[in-house]
Formats: sequence, C-alpha cells, structure tokens
Amino acid sequence: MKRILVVDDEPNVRNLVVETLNYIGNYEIMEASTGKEALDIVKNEKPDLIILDIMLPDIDGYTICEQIKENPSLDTLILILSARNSDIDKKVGYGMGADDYLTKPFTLKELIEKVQNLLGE
Amino acid sequence: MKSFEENIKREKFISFLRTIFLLTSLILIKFDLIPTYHPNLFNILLIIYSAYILFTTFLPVYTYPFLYKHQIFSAIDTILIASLVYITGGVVSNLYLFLLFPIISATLRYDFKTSFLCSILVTLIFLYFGIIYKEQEILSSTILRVIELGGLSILLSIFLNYVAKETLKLQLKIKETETFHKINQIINSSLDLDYVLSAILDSSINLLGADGGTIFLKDKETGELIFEKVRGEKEEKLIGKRLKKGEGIAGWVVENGEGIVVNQVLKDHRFSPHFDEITGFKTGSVICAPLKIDNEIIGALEIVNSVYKKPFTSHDLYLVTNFANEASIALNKAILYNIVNTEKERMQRIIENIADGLIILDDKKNIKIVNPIAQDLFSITPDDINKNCKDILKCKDLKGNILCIDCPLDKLSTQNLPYFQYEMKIFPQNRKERILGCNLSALWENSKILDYILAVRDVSVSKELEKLKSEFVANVSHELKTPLTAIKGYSELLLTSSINEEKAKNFIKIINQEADRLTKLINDLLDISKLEAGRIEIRKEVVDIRKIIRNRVSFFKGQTNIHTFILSLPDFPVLIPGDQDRLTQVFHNLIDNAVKYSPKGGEISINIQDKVKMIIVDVSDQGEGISPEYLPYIFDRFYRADSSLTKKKSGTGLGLSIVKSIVDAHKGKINVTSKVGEGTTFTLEFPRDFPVVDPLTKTLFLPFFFPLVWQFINKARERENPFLIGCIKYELDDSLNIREKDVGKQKLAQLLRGFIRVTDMLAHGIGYFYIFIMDTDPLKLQIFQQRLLQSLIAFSKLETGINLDTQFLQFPKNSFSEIINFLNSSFYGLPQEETL
Repeated sequence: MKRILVVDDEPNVRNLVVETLNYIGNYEIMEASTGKEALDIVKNEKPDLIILDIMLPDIDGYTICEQIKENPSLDTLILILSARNSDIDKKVGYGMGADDYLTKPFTLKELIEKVQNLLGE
Repeated sequence: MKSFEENIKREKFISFLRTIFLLTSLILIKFDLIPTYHPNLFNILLIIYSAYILFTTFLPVYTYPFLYKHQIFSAIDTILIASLVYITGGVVSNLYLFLLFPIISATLRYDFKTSFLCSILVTLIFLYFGIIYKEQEILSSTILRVIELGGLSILLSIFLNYVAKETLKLQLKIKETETFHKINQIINSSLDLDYVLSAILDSSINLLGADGGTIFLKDKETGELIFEKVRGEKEEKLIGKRLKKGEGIAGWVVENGEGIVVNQVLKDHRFSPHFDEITGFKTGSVICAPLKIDNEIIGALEIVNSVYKKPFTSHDLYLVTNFANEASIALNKAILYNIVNTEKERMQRIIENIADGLIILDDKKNIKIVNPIAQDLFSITPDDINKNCKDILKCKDLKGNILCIDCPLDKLSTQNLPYFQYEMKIFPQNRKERILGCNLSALWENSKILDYILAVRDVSVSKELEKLKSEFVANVSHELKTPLTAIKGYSELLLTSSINEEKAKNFIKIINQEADRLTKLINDLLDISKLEAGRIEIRKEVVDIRKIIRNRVSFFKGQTNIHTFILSLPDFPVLIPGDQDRLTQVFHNLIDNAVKYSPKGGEISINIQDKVKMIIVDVSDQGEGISPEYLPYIFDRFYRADSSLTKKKSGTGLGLSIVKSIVDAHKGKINVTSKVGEGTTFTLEFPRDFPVVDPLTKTLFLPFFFPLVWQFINKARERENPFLIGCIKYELDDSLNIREKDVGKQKLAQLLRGFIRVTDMLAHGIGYFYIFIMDTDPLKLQIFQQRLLQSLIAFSKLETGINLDTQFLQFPKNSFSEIINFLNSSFYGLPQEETL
C-alpha cells in the first residue's frame, strides 16, 4: 500500500485532498499542518509521496522540498500544491526538486491524474 | 575751483615778471645807467612803483575774485611803464620794449581783447612820444621808431594771441581727452552704476566749469523723469523728485531725442522754474542731452550754470552729448549686468528648489554644481565640489555592484545618446539604502561634452509601494483561492455518487463555511477599496461599546479553546457616539489578530477605562509580538509583517488598516505597543463628543450619567452612604404632535428638577430619566421617594398622552448587585436606532 503525506495548514483543503485520495484508492494517508510536522513525518515514516503546500506557517514548502531532496536516504516524491501559479513559482518549485506542480483551485481529476502518474499507477 | 587755482599761478608769474621789470628799470635809472630827463618825476614814480610792487606781490589781490579784474591791472601796467618810458626819453628810451609787457601779460591770461587793446594803446603812446620829442630828434628816425615799435607790438600781440589760443585749445583738448579716458576706464572697471554715474556727472561739470547738473532716468511706466543724480546747491532736495512727462528742458529733450543748449532759460517756455524754487539756485543756462540705448531714450544728462556765469557754447553741447553717450553705455552695461545677474540668481534658485536632486559634472566628471536635495541624498559637503564623482557619489547598480566600471556617463558619448535613463542604488551613511531614478543628459559643444547633467529622484518609496502592491495582489489571490479550492473540491466530491449522507452533510457544511469566508474576504476588500476612496460611512448612534466587546468575545470564545479572555469592563453601559457595525468590525479584527498572533494560546485581555469625556480601550495578547522595525507600518494598507513565503497567519493584511480607518472616522486614536515574545497591546481612544447637557430638557445627557454614577455609587458603597436611584420611563402617545411631545418632556424634566439638589443628578436619555440622590439618612430618602412617586402619579393624571413607568432602588436597602442589574436592564431598553 502506497503511503502519502498531505501537508496543508488549511484543514478544509487538507481534508479535501485526503477525501479525494480515499475516494480513488487504497492509500495509507498521513496529515501535517506545519512544515516541522511534515519533516518529522517524512523522516520517520518515509512516505512514497508528499503533497505539499507552499505557504505554511513555519517553514515554507520550497525549503521542505530542498531538505527532502538533499537527504539521500529519502526517495519521497513531491507534488507541490499551491495557490501561487506564476511561472517563476513553478520554476522555483521544480528547481528545488519538486516532481510535479498543481495549482489551487484544482479539479479532482487533475489531482488524481498527477498522484497516479507519480506513483506509477 | 581748479581753474581758479590755475589763474592764481599765472597771476603770480605775471606779478613776478612785473617786479623784475620795474625793479631793474628803477635800479638802472637810479645809478644813471639810463639817463633821466625828469628827475623830480622819477622820485614820484619811484614811490608809486614801490607801492604797486609791494601791493601786487605781498598783498596778492588776485586771490580775492571779487576784488580782482585783470584788465585794470593791464591798464595800470601800461600807464606805469609808459610813464617810465616817458621820463627816460620817450621814443629814444632804452626801456621802450618794456611796454610790451602788458600785451604779454594779457595774452598769458588768454584775454585776447585786452591784449589787442594794449597793443593799440602802446602804439598810440609811442605816437604821442614821437610827437612830444620830435624837436630834439630827427623826425624821420622818430617816425621810423614809432612804426617799428607800434608794428612790433601789434605783430607780437597777434602772434602771441595765436599761440595762446592754440595752446588753450590744445590744453582743453587734452583735458577733454583725459576726462573721457578716465570715464571710459571707470565704466570698464566698475559695475557700480551709482559710482559710474556720479563720476560722469562730476567730470562733465568739472570739464565745462559748470555750476551743477543732473542725470535723469525715465520711469518706463509713467514716462516721468526721476532726478537720479544731482550736483549743485542743495542737491539732496532734488534726489528722487520727478519731472512730469515732457516737463522742463530735460522733458523736452527726452521727448524729442536731441540735445540742446538754452542760454537764457527764463526766456524759454520749456523751462520749469519749480525746482529752482526748491533749491534757491538761479539757473541761467542749460545744456541737456538724451541718454539712449538702442534708440530708446532712457533719460537725460543736464548741465547748468547760474545766471552769474557765462553762457554755454555749442562745443559744450558736443561735450555733454559725449558724456551722455558714456552714461548710456554705463547704464546699458549695468542693465545687462543686472539682467544676467537676475537670471543667474533665478537659475540658482530654480536649481536649489527643484524637487529632484541635480548634479552638474564637467567633462572630467568632476562635481561642479549640486543642489540641496542631491547634497542630502549623496551626503555631499561643500568640500566635495571639484572632486571626481567616483570618490563622492559611490553609485551602485540595483544588484549593489559599483556602477563606475560601466559608468552611465560614458554611454552618452560612446553611444552618442541625447539622454540616458537608469536606476541606481546608493547606501547613505546611517540610513537605509535608496533607489534613485536617474536622468542623464549633457551639454555638447562641437561634438564634445562640456557638462554632464544628472537629475536623480528618490524612487525608493514608490518602488517599495509597488512591491507591497504586488505582494498584496499575491496575498489576496492566495486567500481567495483557498476557500475556492475547498468549495470546488468538495462540490466535485459531492457530485460523485458514492458519498454517504453523513459525509455529504459534512461536505456541504464545509462548502458553506468556505463560502462565508470568501464573503468576508470580499467584504474586506470592498471595505478597503471604499476606505481608499474615503467613502466609508459612519452612522453616529449611541452605542454601548461594552456590549460590542462582549459580543465579539463570546464569538471568539466559540472559535478557540486555548485562549483565555480577561475582560475588565465597567458594570454600566459605556456609551459613545458611533457606528455599531463598524465598531464591531474594529473589535472583531483586533481580537482576531490577538488570537492569530498568539498561536500557543494565552490571555487576551480587554480593558475599558471610562474617562467621562473619552474612553480608552486596551486589547492585549500574550502572543509573538511585533518587532519594533515593523511597528510603524502595521496600519499601512497591504502591509504584513510576514511577507515571506511562510504564511504565518491567514488574512489579507487589511484588518489593521480597516481598524485604523474606522477609528479615525470616529475621531479616535489607535496606538500599538509590542514586545517580541511577550505580546502586543492596541490602545484605542474614542472621544465621547456628545453634548453634556440634553438640549431639550436641560438635564444631564444619559451617556455621561453612567460614568459619573459609577464613581458616585462606588464611593457610596465604600463609605456605606445611602443613595436612591430611580428610572422614570415615559411613553408619549402618538396622538401628540412633536411640539406637544417636547412640552410634555420638558414639564416632566421640570418636575424632576424640582426634587434634586447640587449633589444629586438627573439625566435624560431617549424615553428615560434617571435620578440619583444621595443622603446620609435612609429615612429621608424613603420620604423623598414617596413624595416623588406621588408627584409623578399626579403628573400622569394631569398630562394626558404621557404614560410613566417608575422604578426606584435604594442602597443599602437593595443590594449593590441588584442596583447594577437594574441599571443595566433598564438601559437595554434604550432604542438604538435613534440617531443623534
């Protein structure tokens, strides 16, 4: 069973992602609302995929991205989920090692496609 | 004066010659070297001669102009020398040549008439001598002698006259030349117009030997002539006086543009005697010439002689015209100089007052001119002028690299640009970096740059604002997208059929919540746009700020369980004039902030101090605090202390800006104090700008009653002083018209006023009277209450259409908390919608 970490400080958005994932498949889902929580979970649980918001209360999403990719013991895939939709934001995201980028608001189809794509399903 | 001194010198010389001649002759005769034909006459002559020599040598009469007439002396000389010749033999005398002396002396005086007369006289004398001595001498030789001497004297007179005349002309010419040379020198070397004009006037008077003169300048607007410079008797009386357009000889000259000589002014109709009356001078003759610049007449030079002096000649007019030309040149020069100077000063002032910084550099990039704004921006001191810009300006590009490597100044010449615009950064000492918008151009001459002109404008603020605005847009779009994401996502989930009912309900709840959030956000944005346009509407009602705060606190209590709310509010309504909804927004935003910025929980305390004329509200949290550098900006629109990617708190960054605008619209003040890690306190001040006295009933206006009564009853409770408090609620029937209602209210107020004393209070609200009475004796209060009640019953029976509902409480008969409750509950019946 693939393990996915959903990071967003907005409980409603986070819950939406979780509900969607639950709806499409059988995943083990973890949740975090701050950057620190997210990093702890990534280190300890080593999820397959992290769906990551950029604007978090403590550490920003790009930094989390960078830290995950710098750690050779981790091979977590990263899907950035952000309201920031400028090209620069996307470039920075990819530059920091993100595997894919999805902007808010998103359709469920987009989210499902990107998740399945990343997980090779 | 000078000419008189010259006369004296000449007379001394003539006097000396005369003495030599006469003494030599007398000595020669005395020692029989020349035969004397009339010894007795000689002795008489000896005495006369000695006296005459003594008189002219030791008592020089020529130093007294009023005594001295040189023609008389020429005559005496002629007679004396003729008598000398007579006693020594007349035509055969050895002294006959001395007779030429008067001719010579007259010539030396440039008195050609006298000289000529003398020569005739001498010829006649010889002729006479020839006749009286003819018996002793041969006639032919006598005639010959007469012709010889007479002719000689005439020829000599003519020759000497010619020489003297030419000498005089030459001397005058030299003097004129010298004078004009001097004037030219003065004009060329001095820019002091006053001095130059004085010199020209003095020189022309001196050269002409005149008594006085004036330089007139024309008033361009009125055409009047102003006495600019005056020389002569009582000159100070004339300075600044004016000749009307065309008045006087000068007026005529200015109108006609040509110079004139008028030698008998009293006979000339143009002459204006008015100014002679002022000074007491008697003008005899006048020369006047116009002052011209490029054919425009700007004034006149006038030279005058008194009636006692000789008239002017046409040569004098020629001289005065020349002087006038010199004066015109000087004036023209001064006017041009003034124009240049004024323009220079104007340019200087323009440069100094330009709102942008301006720096002028020479072709070697040395700093030449800097205006105050540029001085301030680049911290340039006067010592830095003429230094190279590289050492002084320290320009950096926007990335902070030194700009001199790729100096924009060079771009003008290398790329042949008319101007060049760029931005740069400077780092002034002890100040924040500044971004400058630069506009560079140059002064060119023959494709070579003479000066660089660098205009700089501090664009830091607008750059910052631009940045804030784009951040604001990013924030807003992010904030809008979050609820949208939820709404869109959950509704999509709902559309998939396999959702159970319980989940669906939950999703709809979330959608509803997020829609609310979206609404609030949009309302905030609308508010801010209204605020930005200054279109916020504030209704002024009597609002209870305490109630608003309680309402918001109970709302937030439902939102958070990690925060404790500590309220320190008066027990009574705190009434201020204000807008219920807007004030609710203020406290909502402030408490919302307090909650957001203390994520670990803690106390949020709200405290009202009622200062009667003003109330102060503090809202404090124990949150993260705001660092001092951000404090001045927190009320700015678009400003968020956390503009980085870490979105610490949700929000548009508009909350505090809205708060401040609303407080401002209430004529209130808002201040913030904060310590990082300890918390933040917002302090609000609202004026209670109600009328203290109700204008209708002339009793205390209700909003002031509560704070005052609060003070009184607290004291009364401490000291256990009995008091009575009553609320008289009245209702006015709709059958009464406005006037009748007013009269009814006033009658009721009058009745109640009859029961109160200085220490008591009577307040009026809308539909209420409050009465507060203190007394040391509870029994008295009881009696008082009964009497008041009876009066009121009587009143309501008498006044139809006014219904009364009365309630009284007494302390300590009623408990303190009972009284508080009573006051609160009775107030809440106050109709809110009645505006002030």
